[in-house]
Amino acid sequence: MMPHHLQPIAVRLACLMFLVLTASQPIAAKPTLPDWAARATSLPSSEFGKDADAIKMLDEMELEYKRDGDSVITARQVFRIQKSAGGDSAIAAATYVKGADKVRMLQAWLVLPDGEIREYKEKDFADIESSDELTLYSEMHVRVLDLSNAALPGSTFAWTYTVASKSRNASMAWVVRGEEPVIESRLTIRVPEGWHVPSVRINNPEVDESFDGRTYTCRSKMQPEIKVEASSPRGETTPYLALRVLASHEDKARSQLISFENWNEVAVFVAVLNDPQAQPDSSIRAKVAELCAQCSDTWEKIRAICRYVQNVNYASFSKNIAEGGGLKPHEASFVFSRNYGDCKDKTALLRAMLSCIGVESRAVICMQDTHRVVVRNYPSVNVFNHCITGIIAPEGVDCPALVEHPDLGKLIIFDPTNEHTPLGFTDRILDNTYYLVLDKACMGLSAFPDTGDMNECVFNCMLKSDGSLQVQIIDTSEGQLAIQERADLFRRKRSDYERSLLYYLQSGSNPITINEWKCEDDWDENRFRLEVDYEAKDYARQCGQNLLMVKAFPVSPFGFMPEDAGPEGRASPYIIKESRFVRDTTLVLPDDVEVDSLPKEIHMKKSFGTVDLVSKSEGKQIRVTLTVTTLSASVAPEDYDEVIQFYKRRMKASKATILLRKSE
Amino acid sequence: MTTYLPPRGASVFAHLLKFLLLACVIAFPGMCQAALFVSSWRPISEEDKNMTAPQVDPDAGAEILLRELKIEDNWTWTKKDLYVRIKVFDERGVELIKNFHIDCHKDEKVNSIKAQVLRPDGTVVALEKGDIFEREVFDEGDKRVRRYSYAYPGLVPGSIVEYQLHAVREGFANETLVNMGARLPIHKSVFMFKPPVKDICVLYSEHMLPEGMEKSNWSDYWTAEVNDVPAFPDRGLMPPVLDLMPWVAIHYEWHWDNLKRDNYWSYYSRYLAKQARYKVKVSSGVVKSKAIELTRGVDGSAEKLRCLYNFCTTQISNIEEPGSGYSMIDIDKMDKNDSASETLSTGRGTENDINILFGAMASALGFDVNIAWCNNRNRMAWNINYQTGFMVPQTAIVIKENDKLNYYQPGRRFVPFGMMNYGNEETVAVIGNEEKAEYALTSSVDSSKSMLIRKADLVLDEEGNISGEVRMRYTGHKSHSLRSVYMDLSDDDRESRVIDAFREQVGGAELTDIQFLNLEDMTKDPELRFKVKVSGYADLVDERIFFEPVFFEKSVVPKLSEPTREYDMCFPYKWESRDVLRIRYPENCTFQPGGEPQSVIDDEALGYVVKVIHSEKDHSITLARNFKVNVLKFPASIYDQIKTIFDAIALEDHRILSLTIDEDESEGE
Repeated sequence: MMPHHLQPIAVRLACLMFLVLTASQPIAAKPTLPDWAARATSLPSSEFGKDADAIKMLDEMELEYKRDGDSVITARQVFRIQKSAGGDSAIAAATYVKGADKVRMLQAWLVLPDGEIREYKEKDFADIESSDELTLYSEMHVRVLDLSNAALPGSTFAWTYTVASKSRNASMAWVVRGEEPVIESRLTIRVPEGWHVPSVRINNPEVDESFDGRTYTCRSKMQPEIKVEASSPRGETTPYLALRVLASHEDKARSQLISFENWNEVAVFVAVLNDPQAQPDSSIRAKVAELCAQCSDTWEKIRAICRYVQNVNYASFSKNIAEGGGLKPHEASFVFSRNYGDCKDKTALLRAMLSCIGVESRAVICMQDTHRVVVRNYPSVNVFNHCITGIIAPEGVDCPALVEHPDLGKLIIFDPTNEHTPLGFTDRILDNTYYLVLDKACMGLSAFPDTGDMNECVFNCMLKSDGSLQVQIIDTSEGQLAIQERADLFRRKRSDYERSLLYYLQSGSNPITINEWKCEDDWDENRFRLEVDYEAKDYARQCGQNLLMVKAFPVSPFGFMPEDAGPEGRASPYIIKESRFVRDTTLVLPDDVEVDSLPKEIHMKKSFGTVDLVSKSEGKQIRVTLTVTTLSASVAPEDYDEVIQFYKRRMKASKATILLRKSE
Repeated sequence: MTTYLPPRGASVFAHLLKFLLLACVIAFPGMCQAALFVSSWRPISEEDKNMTAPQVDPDAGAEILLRELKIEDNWTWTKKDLYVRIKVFDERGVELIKNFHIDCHKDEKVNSIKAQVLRPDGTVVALEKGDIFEREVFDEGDKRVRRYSYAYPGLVPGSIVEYQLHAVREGFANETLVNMGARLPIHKSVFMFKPPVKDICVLYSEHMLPEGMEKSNWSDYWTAEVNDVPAFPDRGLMPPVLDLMPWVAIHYEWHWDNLKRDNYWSYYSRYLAKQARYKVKVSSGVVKSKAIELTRGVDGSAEKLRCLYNFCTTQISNIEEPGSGYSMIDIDKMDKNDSASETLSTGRGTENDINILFGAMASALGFDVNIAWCNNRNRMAWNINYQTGFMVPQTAIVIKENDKLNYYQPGRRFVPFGMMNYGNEETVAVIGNEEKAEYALTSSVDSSKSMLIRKADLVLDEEGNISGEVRMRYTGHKSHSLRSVYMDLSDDDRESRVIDAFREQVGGAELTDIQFLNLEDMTKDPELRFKVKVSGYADLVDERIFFEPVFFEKSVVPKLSEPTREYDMCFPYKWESRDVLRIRYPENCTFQPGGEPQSVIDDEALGYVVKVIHSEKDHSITLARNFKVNVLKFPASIYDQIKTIFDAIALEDHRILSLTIDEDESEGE
């Protein structure tokens, strides 16, 4: 127990020690925004973008190249969040190639509406592999920080990153307008003396560019957001710059940068990586001999081989992508032995197998993504994400996938990755885009053919006295529709497919019972036929005392309507595919029912399509036929009303009504 | 059925033997790992090789012939051995299984994976080391996921694939639920479990395992086996997957007595009672002052509680929800709230924090407050014999008034005052009680409390087009559902979604001026309003117009389309829709009576009541339609009857009214 007279001293000493100890501890500094973010936040915007969920206040990127080809990328972005949905803009994502690139710096800040500033460091960013179910391995990674829950309306989100890159790909796209309005965007590329940075403007970006021999800059201000309209031409909406970095002659070999003056250079470069991998070994030769043993001609042999390769399982795994590893397939013998590979692997195997029967082929690269597109005046490997095959067409062969290539003659385009598209046809995903044949003679891009849609639906119907309808549907699809139907059947169990049929047939809004159904798939002709026998209870509906109403077509196929353009009208052309749809109903009436009225005839003709509805009756039999055709067309935005009228008329025709009268 | 593992009264010799074995494990890890894990392939019967068609599900593209999961808990680590054999019948089966991925979290490691493919021609292709891709796919702070992936080499239809996996995880297997089903049908599913070596009691809760867990004669593994397990079917209105699949839940206890059913649940009740005593019933001055402030001048206990509830749902930010102002990183860094007063002062908290704050404020006002853990019947049906924490996943504050228990969950997003989260309705809650297990049945709200009220004022023209204004109000659980879908969307996405959803009801509808009212105001019912136009709504034949008066159901497909059904039909909650609409038709048209929709049924569980009134003076028809589902489940045994009723309802919804277009009188002059 301390003596009483010493206690005040002890207390004072304790306080003094406390003060000394706390004074020597640094007080944690409150986070502050870096200067560039603070400046961006204070940029005036007035009414600009006031209705947007978020505004991009700053979008900046700096690239610095060294003579050895390595580069350092620094990016900075600032967003002002205006509505709760704008929180989705508060997601920072920096991609890099694991094993090749190094993330040197990652930082983010969130300024909340009450002024609180939160700072996030590199350790707060997750590191995630960019992959899906089909990917066994990917070097592409992304460092992500998701603050979407935290970014309330009135917040500001800023982030920056620096990546040291070893990528040899020296072409890039700088997007000037996107989903948010942009106040200020800046791209700076610094290169050694003697290097160049040529650029191509795509879709008319509003930018100021300059290059002083060492530094390229591109600036833009006050860019409104882009609203993509349905069925607009692919790739003609987003304004951007396509850029390349070209090393000087002295540095070319050392830097090993990959960029191209024209499409021929792209074709040659990728062909060199692909062709050596497409060589058969003895196992492959033996397999080809087995597959072709019963084939009577070359076309049958090609068909058998193509079918085999389509059934090789798909799995994606590329290494060394910073050095172009993503462009080089595995050897055909490896793919054959494992029975799996990605799109370029399957192409290599297919080509190896075709070579065994003396059929030449080439690898073909394209973009398989409806939101992205290959742009004609931007030669780059970056614009492709899929590899298929161009088969040199044997004499006398003709099919929808046959193209007349300006440099290589007749080619049949075939996708060995798409297991539902037979040889001779192409899938919808390749519509409205370009491909490049990997051959030294190939000078440029070519467009995929539109192989169109065709569907004919025949309804053989018998109406009973109780109002129920006995129906036999024969639904025949060709072209891309057949591919879709086939894929749908494949994906589902039989019982699930039947359930989906039930749902589809009941779109006429009556309870129905399916008695029997079957599918016939003519793979070689790409024709898919579905037959269904069913009964629709209470199909004929009472309307008035003795009147019955029946729909001429038990299933209404044409529910699609283009969106209304709104008061501002449509901005981009409307793309229409070639197609032909036929609905043909034969309806037999019971003895106690007669025809009261048949549907009025409809005949509409537009520059891009026709709608024809005709009907007639003979005794107890009624026949109603609807034919709708469209041509491959790009309808100007000012003619969009014509498109709306056309589809409205089509929908009306598909709901054609027959009035019947019950005999007294 | 529930199996209890009796306490280990093993002899000293047995303990010594175990010690020696443990010593071997420590001293010779390689040897012992090899001894514990047998890596040889098992013989495949000729029957399996020759099988050409699936047997459990005739539609399956592939079926699992054998799935054997063996778990050994050492107390500090848990070992898992998985042996799977799959028969692939067709290309769809190949597509389903061709690529294999398994993810391991931070504390787990896969020690080995082996796989092989027995092709139809008899050749065997083994997975090589180079075929397996092992890498980190997720890394955030102390959360890490390591993925192992491969593609089956040489896989074609008719193959049999096998894989074996050996993994080790830090920690023990207490409170583990092992699902013995899979996404493919299974011929034989086996689960083997070896509890830790220490003397603890183990309880197994077994669902759809009539034989329970059995101990074999030659090992210390307990085994559960079940045959012919179908894959979980994908239909609408299904019971929860855990009610249909066999599973085993593992729970450890220190005391044998606690494994008895009521003792097990009494542990929960005692825990909750303690929580209530220390967190809810002892409220600080700050909490009490706030409660008094919020209810000043308010009469009636229900209204007072409503004030407290509204405060908790609108003024306290739930940090786990979107738009909370906190990301997962922020939440990891922040200090947890230890008391109701902390939640009040910080203005934020977890779901549980917010519930506790509500309870504390209510307690401060003199309400009799308790805490409950509730079963969620949308996840698994309550069964008192299944002694596992999975049975009671959600908390609620319980307030007793006049011997009636009322439940409140202000921490749960979008749950309206006076209701529970719908999965917690009409099931069992375990209530806080210091002395014994206490259970209570939660009730469900009547369908009239969860309504979709649709009103439309429409004009039909001579061309058969219809247009007008629509208003929809959502109450109770309907408001919960609406907010869940739309709250976090952007304005554009909301609009697209409304248009798509409405077009499923009325095909070809064009919507403009779409507005949401009260979507974010949890104290009011949300509303949706828009203008609508449907070209060609009515059919024109000669001088007649035919139209369906039940506007909101014009394009709706009959709800129960399958001819038969094997499973009960389960609804998330009871609900009603009430339509009132007026359709004005052209003045030069005459209404032809006949064909009006009629009521079908009006009883406690199910109702369809409709009335149509024609006004010649206004040239209009007014339709009132009420449809209700006032049960949570229809058993499969009465599916036929229910389908007949629903088909009859569909028929009435698509009745047609007719108008004749009057001849122009001036033409005759």
